[in-house]
Amino acid sequence: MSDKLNDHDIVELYHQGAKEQPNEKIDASILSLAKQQHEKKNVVAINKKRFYRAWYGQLSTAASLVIVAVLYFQNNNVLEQSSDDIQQIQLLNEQSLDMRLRSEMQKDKEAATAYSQNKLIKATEKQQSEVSRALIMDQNLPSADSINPPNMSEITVELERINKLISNGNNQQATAALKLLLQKYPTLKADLTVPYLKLLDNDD
Amino acid sequence: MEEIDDETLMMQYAKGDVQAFTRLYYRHKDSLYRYFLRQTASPEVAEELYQEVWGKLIKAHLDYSATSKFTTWLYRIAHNHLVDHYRHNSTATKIITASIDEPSEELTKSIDLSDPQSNLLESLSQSQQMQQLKQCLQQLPRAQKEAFLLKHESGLSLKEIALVINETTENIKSRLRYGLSKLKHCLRLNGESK
Repeated sequence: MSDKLNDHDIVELYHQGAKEQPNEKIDASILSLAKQQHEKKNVVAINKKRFYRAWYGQLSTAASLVIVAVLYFQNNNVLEQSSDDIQQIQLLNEQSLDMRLRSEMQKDKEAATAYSQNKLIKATEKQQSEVSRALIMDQNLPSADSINPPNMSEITVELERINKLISNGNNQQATAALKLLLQKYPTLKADLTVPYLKLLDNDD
Repeated sequence: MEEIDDETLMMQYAKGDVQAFTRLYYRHKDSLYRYFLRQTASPEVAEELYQEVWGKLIKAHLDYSATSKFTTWLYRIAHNHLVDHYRHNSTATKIITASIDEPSEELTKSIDLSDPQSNLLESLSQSQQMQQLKQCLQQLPRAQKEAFLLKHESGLSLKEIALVINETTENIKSRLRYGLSKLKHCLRLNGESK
């Protein structure tokens, strides 16, 4: 061999001498480790499979129950809401019906009141006219206290005053007072008695 | 029979094919073992590190992606494991690294490497030369020795070595050049002394 070694010679020389190897025990232990690791992985996978297979029925049943429960509660909420809505609508209808009935009743009441008032007024007027007619026909008028309607008292008072004026001989004043009374109550003229009619005739 | 590449074998092992791992192991076991043997103080330590690295690889086989070359991945694990070992055994490392960093001027002068009359190496038998080369390799600085082993023992390219030890290809080239130069010098020196 030349004493002038080049790079290639050194590398070749290195490869010629590099024959060391790990012993077979080490090889075996490493390969065994690789196998164990693989089996471990498989065991984990098998366990996963076993778990799934073992609990397949129970899991699917539980899942179905959960789905059914969820659907039930969802629908129940919807039904509750709809029944609440119906109740509210019914309540509103009842309220509106009640209000309508009340208003109708009120109207009826008002109509009845108006009717009774009307009737009363008519009756009062009738009574007034009857009383005044009686007073005019009869000189002896009943006391104002016994009759006591507001218009009648005024008529009675006025007629008493006219009577006094007549009895005192103040016919002119009595005539004027009678005219004023007739202006206020023209219906009285039909019911006037003879002394009052004479008074009016004398004035004409 | 068509040769299946390392990456395919590793992927097959990841899928559960133990036989693929066995093929992969027999393909790389010797070079990895010698990678450790040349860089540790004793064969026992080399064996320990060697087993640990294979153990790491087996445990991490699911993390392997076929985008990286298998040898790059394997020797990166080995390199990191060796660095950790050096850190824990700094005293031992000092002994190994206390070597000839550069050929001394005195020694270079004493031997004329280009002298064709020099017939020192011829006097040594081939086995002696091989033994001397191993000794010289032991004396190389750690970085140069690792670059030499990754290149000529493990058969990695400059780019792959750069990836394994996280260095630039220029640095790797430089380390290889210096390493070979020192080995030549060492061999001549030993031959002369004999």
